[in-house]
Amino acid sequence: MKLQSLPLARHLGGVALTCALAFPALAHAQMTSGQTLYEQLGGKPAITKVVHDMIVNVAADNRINHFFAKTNIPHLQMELVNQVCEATGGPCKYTGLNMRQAHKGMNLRTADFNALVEDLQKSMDSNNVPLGLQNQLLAILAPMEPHVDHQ
Amino acid sequence: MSTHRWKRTLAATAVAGLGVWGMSAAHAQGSRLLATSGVTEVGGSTGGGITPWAVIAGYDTGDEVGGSVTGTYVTVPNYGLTTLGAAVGIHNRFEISVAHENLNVNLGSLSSLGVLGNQPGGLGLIKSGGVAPSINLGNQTISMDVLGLKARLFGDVLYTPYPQVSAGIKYKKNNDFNSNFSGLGPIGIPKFFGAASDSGTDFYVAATKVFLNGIFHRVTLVNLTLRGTKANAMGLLGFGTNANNGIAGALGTKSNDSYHAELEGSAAVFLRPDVAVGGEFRQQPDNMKYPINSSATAIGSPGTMKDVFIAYFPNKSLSLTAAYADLGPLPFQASNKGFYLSLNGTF
Repeated sequence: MKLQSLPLARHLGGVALTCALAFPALAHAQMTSGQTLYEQLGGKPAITKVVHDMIVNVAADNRINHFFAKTNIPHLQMELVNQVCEATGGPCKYTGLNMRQAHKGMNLRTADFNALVEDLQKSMDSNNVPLGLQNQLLAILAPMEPHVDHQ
Repeated sequence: MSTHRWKRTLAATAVAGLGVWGMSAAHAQGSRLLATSGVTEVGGSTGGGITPWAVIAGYDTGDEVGGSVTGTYVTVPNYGLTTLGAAVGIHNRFEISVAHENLNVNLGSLSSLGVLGNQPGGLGLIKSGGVAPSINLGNQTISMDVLGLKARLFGDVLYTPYPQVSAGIKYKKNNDFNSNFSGLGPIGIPKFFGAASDSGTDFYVAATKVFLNGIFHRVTLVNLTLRGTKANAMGLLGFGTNANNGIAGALGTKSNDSYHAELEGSAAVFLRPDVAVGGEFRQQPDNMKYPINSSATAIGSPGTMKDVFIAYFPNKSLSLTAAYADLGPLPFQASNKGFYLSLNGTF
């Protein structure tokens, strides 16, 4: 079922809820560009593509794909897109569990989180997301790690 | 082991300093993100090129063991420093490191060697019948062994809002404190210039933070290290000073065997996930006075070491660092600037 099977995905989504730290970076992006990070990334279609390709990468990633064996993938993608959309200043609302709740009892390790980050980077690379935008998004997501791992 | 491609990097622990040339191989790779292993400083610890960082060796996370092997070569006119080092990181908590350093001193080409002799302005320390200034002393080597222990106290370079903080100690043993380099007897170069001891222990605390969205939206690493030390030129010229040793008295060196608090810093920006550029500085105690150039009275102190560097991390097994380094004054030469190359293998 979803709560157990969506953990990593839910984490990404929980960014907006759990990471006040993310917002200085977001504010900075807005100041320098006049656009939200959401807009610079290309809005919901582009975010959906990046999230989709990340999930494809995860599915092929033997380090962590077993965590998603029973996951409802379309639902996972929807949650993640909303989470990234909201966290980057877009007009979405993440409605999933917060990161601690979503990953409770999973005993995820930092290594697992890092693997997911690499799968996300790989997706952003293949979608030609500029490095500066990649780093801004990662800076928003990284503070979730303590809320995801070792729960 | 895995066949995954390690694509781009995030963080960086990277880079740094003095030049080096080394080697190493790697097999299984840990799960930390690219460049979070850093490189290896000349004393063998994971860090920049000349300063230890709070980072623990290897790419392991909390459940793994990793490590690195490094070779570094720094060359400045009349001096060459070669370092071989290895470090093992345990559960991203403890690091044990060893290093063997060789400083090659080309006394034969140091025209200022006359400063020790009887010529006008000379110190008159080397008499005819002993070793005259005209005698070419050739290449001399000073070697040193370093054993380091480091423990991560708290924090994570990437994932906590505060820095990763580690504490470490380094035991250093200079092997040529008493080596007869001049024919004058069992007085090695360190003792000759007034070092008090052949060994010493450094204590340090290092704080390292990686900003994923740093300067120009690039991953940016900042490190500060506070060190307590008695070392002269990192220990290659011994530890502390004793006015009764060698030519210390003639040079005006006073006895000093107390610890000095010295600051070290590194900053690096990842232009790409696998390429970082940056700079470092490392303060040093100034107990020891050196003869510099051809003046018997021009005296220097070790001063602050500095470097600017570029580091390349083609994958998690390998990194290459090139730097332009300023080692600060050394005996006979006020200015010691040259290139640093380091090859680092991580497993």
